[in-house]
Amino acid sequence: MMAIFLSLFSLLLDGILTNYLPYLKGNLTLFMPLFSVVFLLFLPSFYYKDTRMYYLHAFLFGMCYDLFYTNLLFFHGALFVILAFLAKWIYKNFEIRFWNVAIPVMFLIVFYESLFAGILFLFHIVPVTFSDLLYKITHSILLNIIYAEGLYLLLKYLPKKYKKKKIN
Amino acid sequence: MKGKKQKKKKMWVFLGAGVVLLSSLVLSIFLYPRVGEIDILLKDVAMFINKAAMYPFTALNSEKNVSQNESYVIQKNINSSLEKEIQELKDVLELNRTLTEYEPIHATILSRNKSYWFNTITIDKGKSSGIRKDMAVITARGLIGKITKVSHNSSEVKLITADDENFKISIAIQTNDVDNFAILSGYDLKTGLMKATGIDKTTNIQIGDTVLTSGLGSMFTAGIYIGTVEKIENDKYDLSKTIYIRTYQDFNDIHYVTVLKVKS
Repeated sequence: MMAIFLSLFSLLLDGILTNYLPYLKGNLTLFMPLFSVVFLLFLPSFYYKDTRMYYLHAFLFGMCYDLFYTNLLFFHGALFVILAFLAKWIYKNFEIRFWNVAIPVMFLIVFYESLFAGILFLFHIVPVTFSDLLYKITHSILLNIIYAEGLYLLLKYLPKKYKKKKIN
Repeated sequence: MKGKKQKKKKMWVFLGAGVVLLSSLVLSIFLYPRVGEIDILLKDVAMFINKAAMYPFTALNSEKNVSQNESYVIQKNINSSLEKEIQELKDVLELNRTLTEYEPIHATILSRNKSYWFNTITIDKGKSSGIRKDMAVITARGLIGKITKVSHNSSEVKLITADDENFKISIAIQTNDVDNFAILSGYDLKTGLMKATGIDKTTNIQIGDTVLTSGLGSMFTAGIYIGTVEKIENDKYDLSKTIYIRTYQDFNDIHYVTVLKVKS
């Protein structure tokens, strides 16, 4: 339940902030939100052995993201499953702590943006350049690290009944 | 043995997601009409939730019972926000008087497309308000885009700043003697100006000339204001001219739009 609540919270906050920040190419601020992607990093803490539910959650979360913000039905559904796979791997092999949470966040954002831009480039849907991609990534790091730190603290001190795995 | 099995399972999940990802992209982009009905239904539900989530923020501007004890800064911000909103609505009303051949449909922006590359916005009016695909979307400051997807209660607008090869607008540059036609072909990130190419080198275009839609190509009717000529350049072979157009619309700060529906 808490996982669904936090997913929805991240999703809606993502959209609300995007509505009030410049979003055109060349006008982005250094505080572009990608809270939904950041939340995926913490999603494994809500699931222990129920892998199917974990990936289903990621898929449905991505579907909602598409319906709310992108109009690309199923696209983020599948993309979020890949990101969830990556988040699970990070969770297993990397000890997330307050001072190092920025590293996996950056990794996830770079992976997400590169994969997204790569697919658009591959299908010639919109012109994608490396400098544009770099611009987008650099402008998406700062605010999302702050959000990730907030989520980390919230989950660290969240009573055990709301989550399945311990946050270091 | 167990580890191997798990690894295999993970690989299948990963591959499966990859296949779904690619096929969904094809479905979303190329075969949209076939999945349209499902999308429309789900989209309406999503937009209802989105509208509810945005309500406290949009309602902030119309807040009337502001306590006198609130700080001056908050009060000042609310006032300036209200003034701005009133001005924006006044401009839209003024514009309606000049567009008599159209039935204007006013809409509020619900959300912006989160994917940076597409340059689209979602408005709160759809099929139920008479909106159809390819209708022109304007503000008081001119053309901003066209309708690309319509569901019952919301529509997607592609902005003219989008880098889309399939979204070209035929324009007319009004000079002293004759109208010159060209194609609006993109947005220059560095200068923040719209670019138009394919103009005969011999034409007499001056800085400050007005740019309108030409009506050619049957996408938009003629006469919708776009902007004014800001800069003129000859192309590298000196065969044609490229002009840069200043639009007076701040695309990062649009809250209300008008969709132009041709009166039947």
